[in-house]
Amino acid sequence: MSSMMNKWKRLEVLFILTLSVLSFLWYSGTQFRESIYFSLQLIRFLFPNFPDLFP
Amino acid sequence: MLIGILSWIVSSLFVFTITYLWHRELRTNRASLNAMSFIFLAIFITTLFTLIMGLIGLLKPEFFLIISGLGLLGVIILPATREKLVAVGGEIREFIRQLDYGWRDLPRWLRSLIVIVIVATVVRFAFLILALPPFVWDSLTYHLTNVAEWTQHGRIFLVNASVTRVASPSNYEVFATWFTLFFHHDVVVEAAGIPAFILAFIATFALARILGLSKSSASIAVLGFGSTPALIMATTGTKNDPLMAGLFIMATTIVVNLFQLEREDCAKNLTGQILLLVLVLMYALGTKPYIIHLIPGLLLIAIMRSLQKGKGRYLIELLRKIWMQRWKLISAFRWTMIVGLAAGLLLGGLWYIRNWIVFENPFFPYSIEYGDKLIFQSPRQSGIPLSLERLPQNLISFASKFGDKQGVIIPSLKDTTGWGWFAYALGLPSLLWVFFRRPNLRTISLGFMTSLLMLFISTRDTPYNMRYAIWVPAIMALAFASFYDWIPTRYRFERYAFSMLLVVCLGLNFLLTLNYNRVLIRDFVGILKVPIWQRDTSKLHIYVDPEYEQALDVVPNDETLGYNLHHDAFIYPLYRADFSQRLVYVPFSGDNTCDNLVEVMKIHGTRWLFAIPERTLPANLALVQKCVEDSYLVSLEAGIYVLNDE
Repeated sequence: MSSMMNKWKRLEVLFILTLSVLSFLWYSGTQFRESIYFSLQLIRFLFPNFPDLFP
Repeated sequence: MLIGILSWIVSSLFVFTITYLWHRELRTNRASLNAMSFIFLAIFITTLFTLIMGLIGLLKPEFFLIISGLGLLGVIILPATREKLVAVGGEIREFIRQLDYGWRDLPRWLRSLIVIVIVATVVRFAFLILALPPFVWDSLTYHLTNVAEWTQHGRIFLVNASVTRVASPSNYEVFATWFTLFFHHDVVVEAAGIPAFILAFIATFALARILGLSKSSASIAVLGFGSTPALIMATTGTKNDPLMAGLFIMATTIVVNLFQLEREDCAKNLTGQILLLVLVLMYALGTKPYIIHLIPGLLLIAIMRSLQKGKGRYLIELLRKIWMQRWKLISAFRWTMIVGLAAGLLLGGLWYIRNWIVFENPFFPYSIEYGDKLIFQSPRQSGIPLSLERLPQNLISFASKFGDKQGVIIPSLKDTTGWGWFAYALGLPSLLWVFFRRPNLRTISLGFMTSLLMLFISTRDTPYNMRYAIWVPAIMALAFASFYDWIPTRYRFERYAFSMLLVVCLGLNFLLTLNYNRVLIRDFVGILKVPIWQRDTSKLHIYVDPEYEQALDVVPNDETLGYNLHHDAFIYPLYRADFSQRLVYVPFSGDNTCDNLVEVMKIHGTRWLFAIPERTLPANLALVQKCVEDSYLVSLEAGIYVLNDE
């Protein structure tokens, strides 16, 4: 019984983990580019030879 | 400058001393609650002190130095207060000891993460405050217009401006004036949001601890909520929403705590908490009226908590105890209650009473509608309807903003929620879990949702209205913290995966808020070349039109500059960073004649007029152009006109 409970608990944690990863990927859809855009600009300003990843 | 620094130090010491003395009367036996109430009382007393000094026309560093110096002397001389102050050293040592004890309780990885986050946050805040002048839209139209006028004139009064929102409740603006009056400069005015930010995360920590979460999980909740882009950007964006978020979470914490009281909690403890709750709500009311919309959520939390088994029993017992001991308590709390309630009424009611007297509408500049009936009328702004009419539109609008899919997050939160990586990636799934697994947090989540719905009932459906809801991610942070607390330590992989995801989300939130997503590198470089004391808002052309800078190059700062701008135009950039430019609103309409215009300018004591396309009504601008053609006015630069003396 305890082993069964343990298994369900682990599944529950993994379910939330999966949801979190999916949610992360969903949010990345628009915000990933926006989030790192300024940092890339800053890097390109300091190191002009750095490739422009989001022209 | 020297007197400003000295005055700031002495006045801050005075405020902290009074805060300490008052806080002694209201503390509980929970350290996190005490830390929260200390920060709140410091904000409350600073605002109260500035307001009183402003109302009697003593808003100058030298007066603050004298009054604070005398006040400090008074509390040191008076035996009753001196006796209490003697204990300060010991209490600070005890606080540090407890902090150190709590710190050692945290796992090493979390301690390292907290240190990195604190250093990064401090550096970011310091850089953004010092490098950039204020530039956020609402600040330049009305928040900082009040601050500039009050600092300039050394008193607090109803500012006559083209933007009628200057008449809105102004506790935040009074508090922000504390950051300008000592230097007579706006160099650190953006720091006015930091105490509110601290209040918001300490309240989140306190709420987590009351709900029984471990120190580690409570710290994770703070890290998560504290990284919310909407909160971070508004903090140094001179906006009052972080203060509202802090106050609302604090009020929630107190309400939840009322139902967590143990049998051994004394009646004095509960009375103090109720008084604090009243002060928080009054202060919030004087900051922004939307606290009225949030209160039903608090009531729901209170009702649901009282219905939970045993939760309401001790509260009822304690309330009965309070009633039995009412005379003893009133006697013990006499001054705390009298002074506290009077101060609360002043900060919560002053702006509404003033507006009622002046405009016959306490909620000016907003009208209040109930069905087809207009309860309070206002000429310019659209109304706040007390009906369900706006709910569907706002819900549709919320659905489109959810997930921040419509664009980049900026301080005004245009078409976005601004909740960020942590809230969406870790907060949302955890919130789902909480609904099935944690009745305590489910109650609070339902309360938060009710408050959000109440906001949607009456707020205007604009692209910017999610800035009223930057407190929502706090519940997501608590949900994740609760979930993380629940994962057994033997599930190493899962805990490691969540920790990694947490670090990545915090990192991305940090990158997202490195600047306000509005400032280009070349603008940064441009403004950094300007000496720090000369970084006028007019020089940063993100929203502000170049004509503002040109006008200040032309108009001498020992002359009054008149302006005619519309109800949502920037006024603040014209004051200059050191508030040396006197301004006056020159009201006229397109129907007037040039003789009228000249007369109005003379009546208002100015020979200068600032009026530009986009920021001045077209009809008014057409009149100005006609007056130039008819030689009443001379056009000097684009947007700046002077009376023709010939």
